[in-house]
Amino acid sequence: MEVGIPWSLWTPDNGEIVFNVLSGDATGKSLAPDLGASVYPVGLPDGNGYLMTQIVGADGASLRNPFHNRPHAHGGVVHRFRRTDKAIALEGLVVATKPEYRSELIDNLRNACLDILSPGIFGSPQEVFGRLFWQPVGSPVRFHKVHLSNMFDAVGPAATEGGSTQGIAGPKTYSFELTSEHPEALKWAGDETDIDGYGSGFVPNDGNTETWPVVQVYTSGPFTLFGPGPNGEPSGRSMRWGFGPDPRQNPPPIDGTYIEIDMFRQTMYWDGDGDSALAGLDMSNSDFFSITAGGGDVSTTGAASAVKVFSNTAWVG
Amino acid sequence: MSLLLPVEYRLVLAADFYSPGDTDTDWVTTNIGMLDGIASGVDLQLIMNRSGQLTFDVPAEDPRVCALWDDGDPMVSCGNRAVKVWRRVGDIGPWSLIYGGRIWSLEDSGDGDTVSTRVTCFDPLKILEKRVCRDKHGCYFPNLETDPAKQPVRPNDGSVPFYLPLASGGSALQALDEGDWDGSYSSHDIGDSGEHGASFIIKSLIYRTIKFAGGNPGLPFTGAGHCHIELDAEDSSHIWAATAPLEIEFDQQTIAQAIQTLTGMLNVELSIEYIDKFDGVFIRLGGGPRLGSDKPDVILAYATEPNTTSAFSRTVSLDNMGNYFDLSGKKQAGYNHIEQDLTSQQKFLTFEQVENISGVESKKGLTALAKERLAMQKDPRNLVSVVPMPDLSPLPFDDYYLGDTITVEAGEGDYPVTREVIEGLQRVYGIHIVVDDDYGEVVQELIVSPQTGLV
Repeated sequence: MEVGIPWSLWTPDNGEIVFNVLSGDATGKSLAPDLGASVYPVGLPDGNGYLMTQIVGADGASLRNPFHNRPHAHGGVVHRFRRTDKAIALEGLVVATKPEYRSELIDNLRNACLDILSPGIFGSPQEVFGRLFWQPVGSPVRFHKVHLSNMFDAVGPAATEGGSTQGIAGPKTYSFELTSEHPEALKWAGDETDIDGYGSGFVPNDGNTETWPVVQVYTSGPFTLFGPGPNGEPSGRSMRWGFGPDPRQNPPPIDGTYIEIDMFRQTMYWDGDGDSALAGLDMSNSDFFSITAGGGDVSTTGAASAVKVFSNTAWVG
Repeated sequence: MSLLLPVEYRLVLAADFYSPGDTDTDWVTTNIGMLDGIASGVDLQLIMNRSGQLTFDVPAEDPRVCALWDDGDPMVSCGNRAVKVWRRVGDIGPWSLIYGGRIWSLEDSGDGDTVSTRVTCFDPLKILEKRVCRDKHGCYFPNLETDPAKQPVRPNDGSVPFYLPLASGGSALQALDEGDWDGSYSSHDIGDSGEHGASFIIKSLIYRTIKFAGGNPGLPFTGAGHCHIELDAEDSSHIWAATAPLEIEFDQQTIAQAIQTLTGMLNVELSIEYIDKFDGVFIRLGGGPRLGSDKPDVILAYATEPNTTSAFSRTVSLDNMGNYFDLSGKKQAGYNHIEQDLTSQQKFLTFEQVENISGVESKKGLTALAKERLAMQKDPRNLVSVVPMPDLSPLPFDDYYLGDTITVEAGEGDYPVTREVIEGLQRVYGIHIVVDDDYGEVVQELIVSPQTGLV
C-alpha cells in the first residue's frame, strides 16, 4: 500500500492522528473535517510529526481458498474464494526536534490506539471503534472502521535535543495493527439515494467490489424492495415484507415511521433503534442484497411511500 | 442434477411461545433474527424415523445472540426459541425450508480470548420422548378413571394391567374418540376402516398426547399439551397410509419408544415435512409402509466412474443375522409362526431366533412380523457409508432424500480396490450435512444399505 499519501487515524476520544505531516501542526490537514475532531500533531514546531513508512494488509483482505483433491484423479476441485477480515499493520517514524516533543507525539499516538481497544465485538453496544483514513492520488478519501488488534509499540535509541544538523532528536519507530470487520474499503463521502414510492433509483458504486447499503423504507404497510442481482444483473433480488405466510404479519403491525434495513448484518428495526421488523419478512422470497461494483437500481412497490438508500462506494484496497 | 451451482443456507431464529387464543394451537412462532452470518460449524443430521438434529456455534457476545428479546430472555435461549433452516441452490430465487426445530440445549464456553455458544436443536419428534402412551380416554397407568365404561379393558386372569389395547380391525376398540372440547380436535377421527397397523397407532398416540397431556385421565385440551406436530395436511399431502395389520401393547412407554418399536418392526416409515408455520407447528407428519422413490440415475461412485465420492466404508457382519424365526405372541394363545430360509442356512449355517413378542397377539401380526424379519436378516448386515464429493456429486434434497434408493458403486474394475465390487441400488437411511464456512454444503456422510438390509 502506498505510504506517501495522506493517512490518518480517527478515534472517538483522542482526536485524529494525521500522518506524513512533519510541520508540527496538522491543523487543516484532517481527512474527515466533518467529524470536527482535534488533530495531532498540533502546536509543535516544524520538524515534528509522524512519518508513515510501511503499511501491510491494506491492499486487500486475505483470501479463504478452499479446495479438494479430485477423487482418484489428477487435479482438484477449487471452490469459491472468500475474503477474510482485513488485518492492517502500520509502521513508521516518530520524528521530533526535542525529546519532550517526541514523548508528546508518542503519547498521543499510544492513547489513540488504546482508545480503540474495543471492549465489545463489532456491532455490539459496547463497541468502540476508530476510522483509518487515507486518500490515494486522484481518488476520494477512503476509510476502514477499525479496532486495535495488536498493541502500539515505539522503539529506538534515546537522543538529546538537536543531535543532528536538522535538529532531529533521534526518531523512534512506531508500530501497531488494526483490524476491520469488513474486507472492503469504503469511500468516506457516502451516497444517499432517495426513491419515491413505486419508484426506482440508481445506487452508485464507483469502486471495484460490492458494498452493503443501509436502507430506510418509509412505510405504512406491506412492501417489496427490489435490488440488483448478486453478479450485477439489473434485477434479481428482492425483499418482501408483510406478504409472508405468518398471518400475524400479514398485514404486519406498524411500529414506527420507517424500517431501517442493514443489509450486511441482516437486521430490520423500526426507526433504526426500535422494535424488530424482521418478523414480517417473507423468508422464502427475500434476500438481503449488496450493490455490486458499477452500481445498481433499487426500486419499491407496495405501501412504501419513500426509500432512502445510504451507501458507500467500495474498493478491495 | 443441479451440479456446480452454489448452495446457500439461511438460519432464521424464531421465538416460540405460549399465547392462548392467538392461534388454534395456543402457540405463536415469530421470526426474530438471522444467524447465518455468524453461525459456524453448521451440522445437520437427518435419519429416517428419528428426530432431525441441528448444531452450530455462535459468538456469545454478538447482539444477535445475547441481546434481550421482548420476553426478557436472550435472543438465543433454550426451549422457547427455534431455528428454521432454509436452503437454495444458486444465488437467486426462492428459498426452501429444509429443517425446523426447537433449541434443545445450549453450551456456553469461553477461553482466555473468546466466548461461544453451541446450539443444538431437535425437531418435534424429540418431545415425544417426554410423552407417555395413552389409551383413547387419555389414561396411562395408574388409571384413575372411575367410570367403568372408560376404564381400559382388563384381562380375565385377575392381573391389573395398565396396558393400552390397540387392536386392528376391531370396531369396539377403534371407535371414534370423542372430543370434549371444540376446536380443531373436536372430531378426533383417527381413521376409517382402511387404516390399520403401525401408522394408525402412531397417529393415534400423537393425537392423544396433544389432547390429553398433563393429566390422568387427560384434562381438556390446553395448548401446553401440543407437541408442534401437524398430523393432517389440508391438501392431503403426507397422509397416513394403511400398513400391515398389527396388534401391540405399550407398557409404560413413551411415544418415542413406541415409534422406535414400530418402525423397528418395519411396519411403518415416517414421512417428515418441515413447514413454515407460525402457530408453533414445525413439522407435518405422515406414515406409510414404505417411503421414498427409486432413483437409479442418481449415482455415487467410489474408485470408479463417475468418481463422485471421496470416501467410502462398508461393514459386512453376521452379527444381526437370522434365517430361522419362531415367534410367539405374549399370551401364546395356542399359536406361533415359523419362517426360515434354507438357502441362507446352507450358506451361512442356521441362525435361530426364537422369541416371545410382547404385545403382539394375533397370528396375522406374528406372521407378517416373521416374514419381514426374515427378509431383512437372512443375509449378513451390509452397511455402506459414502462421502459425496462437494460440487461434483448429486445434491441432497434436490436429487435424493431419505428413503430414496440410489445407485452406489465402488471399486468396479478387473481388480477391485474395495475387495468386492459394489454395484446396485442402495436405500438412503441417513444424511449428515455440514455447512462448511468456506465451500458450503457438504454431505459429511451418507448412510445407505441394500433395500432389504437392516441399518
